[in-house]
Amino acid sequence: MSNARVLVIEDGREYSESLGRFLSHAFDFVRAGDGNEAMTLLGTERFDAVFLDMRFDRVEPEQLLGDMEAAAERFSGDREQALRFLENNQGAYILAALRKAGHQLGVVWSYDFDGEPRRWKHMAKTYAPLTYLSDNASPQDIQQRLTQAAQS
Amino acid sequence: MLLLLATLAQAEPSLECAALDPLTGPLCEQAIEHAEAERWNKAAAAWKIVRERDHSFDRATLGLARARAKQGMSAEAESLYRSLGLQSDAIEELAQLIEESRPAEAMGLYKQLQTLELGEARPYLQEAGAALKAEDLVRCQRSLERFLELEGFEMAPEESLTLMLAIAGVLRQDPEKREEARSWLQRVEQMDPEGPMGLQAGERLDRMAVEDSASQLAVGGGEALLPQQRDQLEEIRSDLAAGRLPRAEREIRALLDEAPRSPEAWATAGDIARGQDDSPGAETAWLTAIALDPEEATWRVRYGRLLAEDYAGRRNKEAAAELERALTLRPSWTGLYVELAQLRIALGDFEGAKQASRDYLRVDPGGELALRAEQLLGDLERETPEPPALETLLAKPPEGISTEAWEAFKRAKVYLEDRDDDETARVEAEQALSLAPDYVDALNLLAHLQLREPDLDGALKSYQRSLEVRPDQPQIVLAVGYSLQDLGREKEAAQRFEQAADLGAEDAIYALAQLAADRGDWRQARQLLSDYFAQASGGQNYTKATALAEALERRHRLELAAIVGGASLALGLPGAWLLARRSGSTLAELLARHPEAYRDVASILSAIRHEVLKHNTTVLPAAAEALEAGRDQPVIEAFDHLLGRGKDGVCPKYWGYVTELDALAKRYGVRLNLERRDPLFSRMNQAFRDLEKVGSSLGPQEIDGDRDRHAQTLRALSLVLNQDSYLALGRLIREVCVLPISQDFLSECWQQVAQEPAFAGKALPEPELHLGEPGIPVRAFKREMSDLLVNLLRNAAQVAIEERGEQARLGLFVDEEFDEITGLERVVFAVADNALSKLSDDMIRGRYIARGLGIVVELVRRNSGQIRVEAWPGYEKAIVVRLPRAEVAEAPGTDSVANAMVEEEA
Repeated sequence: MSNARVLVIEDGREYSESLGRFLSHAFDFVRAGDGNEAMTLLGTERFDAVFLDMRFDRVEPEQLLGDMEAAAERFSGDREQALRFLENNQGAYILAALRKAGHQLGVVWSYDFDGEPRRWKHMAKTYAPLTYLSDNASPQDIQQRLTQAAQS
Repeated sequence: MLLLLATLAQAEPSLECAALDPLTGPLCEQAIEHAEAERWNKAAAAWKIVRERDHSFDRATLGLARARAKQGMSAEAESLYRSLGLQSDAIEELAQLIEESRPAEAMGLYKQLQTLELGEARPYLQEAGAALKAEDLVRCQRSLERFLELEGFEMAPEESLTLMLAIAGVLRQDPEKREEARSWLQRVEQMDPEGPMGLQAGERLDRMAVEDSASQLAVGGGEALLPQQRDQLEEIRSDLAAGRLPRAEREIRALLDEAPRSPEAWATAGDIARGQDDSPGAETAWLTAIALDPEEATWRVRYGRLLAEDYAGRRNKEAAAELERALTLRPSWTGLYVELAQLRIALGDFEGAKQASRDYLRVDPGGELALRAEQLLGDLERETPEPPALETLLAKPPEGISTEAWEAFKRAKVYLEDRDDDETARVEAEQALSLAPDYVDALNLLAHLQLREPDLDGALKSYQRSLEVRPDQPQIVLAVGYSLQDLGREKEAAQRFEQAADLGAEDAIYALAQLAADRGDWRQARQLLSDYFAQASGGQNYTKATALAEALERRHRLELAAIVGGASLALGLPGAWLLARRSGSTLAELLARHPEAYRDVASILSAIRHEVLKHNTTVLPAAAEALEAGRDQPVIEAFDHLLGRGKDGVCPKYWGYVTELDALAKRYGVRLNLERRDPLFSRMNQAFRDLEKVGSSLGPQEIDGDRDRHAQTLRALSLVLNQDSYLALGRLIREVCVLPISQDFLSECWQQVAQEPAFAGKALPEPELHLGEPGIPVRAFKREMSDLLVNLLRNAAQVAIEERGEQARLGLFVDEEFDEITGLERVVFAVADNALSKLSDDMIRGRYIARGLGIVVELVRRNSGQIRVEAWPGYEKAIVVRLPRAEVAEAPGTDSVANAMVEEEA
């Protein structure tokens, strides 16, 4: 039986490397460096689950999903703060785009929602099927969640 | 001429008294002698008798009036002066007596004097002084000019120079009269070229030049920095914090060339100049920053402190004015009240100092300066010590005391206790002592009278003499202690209190506790109070002791909270360890002292969480498993990455963040000791050192040593780093800066505005308050939030009252809203008014300084919020501020049921 295919969406390579290092026996990982690349890969290839990061501060600003003007207005016109906001919440914009495009596969989101239960409640309702893992999750934790997501 | 007469009269008292009968004449001479020695009680008593004996002898009326004036019995003095009609001396002294309270009336009297003493210059100078107090600047200048004309330019006394400086000080405040001010200052400089007045005038001329250039620059207001300029300024501030002053100075000059209207840049230039001990440079820069942004409190505080510290008290008044203004702008900077109280004490404004101390205790009763404020207030309100009770009269003279002395003592006691006639009582007591110098009761009675006068030195001498005769008098020893304390001789006072306590005076223990608290020895003060309460059974100091005990308890709790607070609680480390005496501060202490550092601290902690722990140390359990399974390669690769073998590693990154925290704290003047004192970081540091140690056996070529033991170490380190530290960091980031918005908080903000002097006597509309849900948590500090709302409300109230008068209406609305995509919520604060004047987003976002919104805009920016003007139902408009809503975490670290894979809604 072939390994489940997981699309890892992250701006760096930390997850791809550490997951590849410790979980390559169970999954095949493909990396997308930003929201646009992820949407292209999802449109052209088959995946069983998505592993999604939240903060994307290493991609070029033009590669970020989200409305820069609306974000700037959120900070009284301060574009610097707006850019940071889009970077810090890029995972949510990617997830919104992914669902809007009709991709309903299970997503494991790497973000610590333990401290934000109200926000998690909203996200879980809006973007299901979805789960999250705190930043201190070990590869074993990730394996368990990815298996669950691939089966959802 | 008056002075000449007075001098002659003093020199030859007998001449003045020669006309009196032989019985009254010596009394008159005695009165003059007492007056010369400033023994006003005795002088008054003697003049009173002379006057009763010869009503036509005006000298006695004048002498009694003077003595009454000196005794503070102004009404009687005034009536006596007036009874002397057109006598020049009486008119002059009456004018001086009423000049402070009724300067306009005093001006009239000096005018009268000018007619009575034609050609005399002095009444013109006196009239000018009174006119200045009456705020009649035109008459003040005219009279002073006339005085200078009569006296001669070169003969002008110091008083006239002081007056000229004062006139210039008033004129300087009026932009249209600054030239006139300059002209007065230049005259002082010419008249006293080498003297202190001339130097002061020169200093003020220089300052005016600075003020002028600052206000020229300020025409049109300040301008905000561009983003890249802001980054540049941040770097300059880092240089400043790291002590790289020449570089910081070079860079700030370059930035000021590019952005000459930036108040922040000027303020930083001031900081740099201050760091280089260049006070004039700092003064110029801060003054320019104030001129560019008069609504920012920070540089006003710095400028005010400089004035207080560098001018040896000469500019304390201006310093106090700067702190007062800063407090109006930032009422939550409560520590300024204490500074203000101290400045006012130095200025002799004791009522103002009491008020400032009370203000601190009102707004921040549990604050870290509460004890200091209470001490100041206690000192200011401390009355002359209550004299100890006098011995009751014995039926016969004490042993060794003559009946004559005993009779005189009895009369003294009756005059004091039954007739309240201290003057006669004292004469009798002195009579008793002249007959029996070791008469202890008479000595104590005399000291009692001296304390009431108050003549502390005299009382001290009498008490000490009494103790020499009979040492075993605990209450007298205590009274000596109080007298010494009031004379500022605290060491001797403490010795006397100890002696009194040994003799059984329980109030002496309280006095010792108060002394210990005054010198900051809280521990001893607490111990002494505990001794006091063990012995005391009420008494005059019981209530004060209770208040002091409460203040000390509050301080003790604060100290404990600062030490054991924050992250330490999260880790649950034993408090005793934390209390170990080591220098340097913990992170929690830094945040307790400088909450404004929170955002920068949180950003570094967040980076440690995301860039050090996440992805990296989280692999430790998997690495342990791989080790046990004999899969070496992933372990070696993981440690290459962790230790940075060949490229940037995780451990060096961690140490870099620790260094960044140290540097950040230095910017706030705090030296951190994360290694030894901080419970969170000392553990993390140790864990990273252990990680580096075990890592040296795990590659780069092969695995050395016992695999099972290494695996065990990795799991233990994972527990410290990925569980304990990760959660503690998260809590510190999330929980420090959260404020639940309550109805009470909103009302407090409004009350603060309503109590401002600017609104005194105005019909202030009660705002419509609406809070969507009680306790909405906002990610902001209470002080900042309070400043933000107070400024918005003040602004709205001012404009609405100005434009709508009694029709003015205000509203304060608080609600939540939420962003569909990110799920993030914000708290919406709307301050609505019915003023008609237009206000646009551009106006407020461009730091619309003229309407006091500069602070609000800056606070909103600092809190990652939004500010805009919106139409508001029922009002003309609202200024709406949106700030991130905080979340209060559920059980920490739980991977709750809610987080099982949430399936699409079926």
